[in-house]
Amino acid sequence: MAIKQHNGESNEDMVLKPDLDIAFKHKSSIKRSEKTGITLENEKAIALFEGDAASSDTPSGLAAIYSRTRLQADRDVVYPDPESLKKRVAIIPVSLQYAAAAIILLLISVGAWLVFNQDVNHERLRHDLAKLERVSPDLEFGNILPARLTLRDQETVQIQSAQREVVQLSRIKSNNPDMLTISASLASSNMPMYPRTTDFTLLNNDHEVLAVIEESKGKTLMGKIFSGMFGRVKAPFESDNKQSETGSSEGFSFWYIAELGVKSVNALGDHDYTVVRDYNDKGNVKGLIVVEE
Amino acid sequence: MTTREYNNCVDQHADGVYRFILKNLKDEHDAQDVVQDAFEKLWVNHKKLNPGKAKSYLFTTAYHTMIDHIRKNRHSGSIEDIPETSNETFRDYSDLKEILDEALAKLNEVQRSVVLLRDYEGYSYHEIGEITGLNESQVKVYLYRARVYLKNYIVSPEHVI
Repeated sequence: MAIKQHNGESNEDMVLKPDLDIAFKHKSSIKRSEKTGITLENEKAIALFEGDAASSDTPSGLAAIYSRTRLQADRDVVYPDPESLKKRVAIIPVSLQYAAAAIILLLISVGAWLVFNQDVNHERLRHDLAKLERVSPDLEFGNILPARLTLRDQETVQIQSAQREVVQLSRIKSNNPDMLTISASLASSNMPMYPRTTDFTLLNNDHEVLAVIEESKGKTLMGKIFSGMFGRVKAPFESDNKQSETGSSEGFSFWYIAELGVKSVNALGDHDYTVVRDYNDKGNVKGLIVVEE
Repeated sequence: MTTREYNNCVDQHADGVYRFILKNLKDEHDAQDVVQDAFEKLWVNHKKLNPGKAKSYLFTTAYHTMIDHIRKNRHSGSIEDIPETSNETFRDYSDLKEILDEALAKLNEVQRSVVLLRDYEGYSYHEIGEITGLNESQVKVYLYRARVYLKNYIVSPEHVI
């Protein structure tokens, strides 16, 4: 009996009851997020690291590990040739036909202008230069340049300087026996590109050897255009003659004319335009484009 | 966008786009081709584009060009295909960056792109979504999974420095 009782008590005592005080503390580490499928613990840590959530119950150690997964860009890696990606500014796309028409019109206009102005100049020269045959100064000196005059009746007088500049005198006046005032202009035509007044002081009494006292003046509009176009053409007596020596013997091509036109625009307006060829798919030039560098 | 603004874009973003693509493709010439292509598309559309949108447009274009390039040239496995523990032989690592680069290369292109856009360029989920064509939730999932992978990679015994 005692044994039975003991057995009965023993059976009840033998049933182990769970200790409810013992709990698994890391449930969140094995729970999965419905959205990402990763564990909640990791999700919270990443959210903290990414700035998506505040850090209340997030294990800081795990967030610190995630912070190590932040990638750092290698600033030494750069695109090798960014200039090749850049584009130049297309200002005026010009078709060959339009350009040809414009150039022909320009040439006709310039020719007409020359024809109509030449006669006037000749008359004036004939009048003013009645007593002069030739002016041939040596222009290699500084501001005071000797010149030689010989009296003879002649319509035009030209000065060929050592700097390859052709100076055409358009007017010579003599107000007194010791001083001649000469208005000179540059170019082989009669266009007054660089009008300037030059005083020729007689060095001796035979009226043959003169001194040129040069006085600089600004370029005219026409002078700027030609300066821009030809580059090598300079005002008379300018000291820097590097450009004047770079004149080429290239023939006038269509391309060259267009380039000269743009250079003149650059000279006039302080621009930095360039003419580039525009090619079609077959590699043939289909037109010209004026671009700003 | 003017030509001048386009050229400024080249100065400001060419390197960033190049780094992003190079990290994905691992080939300088291919990356340069993709960057050139992206800028060419930007140029074609530059008159229609607001300068403020240029960077996003560049990354979006470059990303899609890159994805096309990857799909044409090789098959890329997804992250689910990659075992948690690598069977590679143990090797020495000099720094964390080296390990991270290796882990990054093992991500699939979408996850890699999301992480790169987030870390390199600091884009938000919304912006990354615009570039990659994903919604914000998808971006977040891709990013979080990629982070877990990177974290597991750098703490695994064979990758401990």
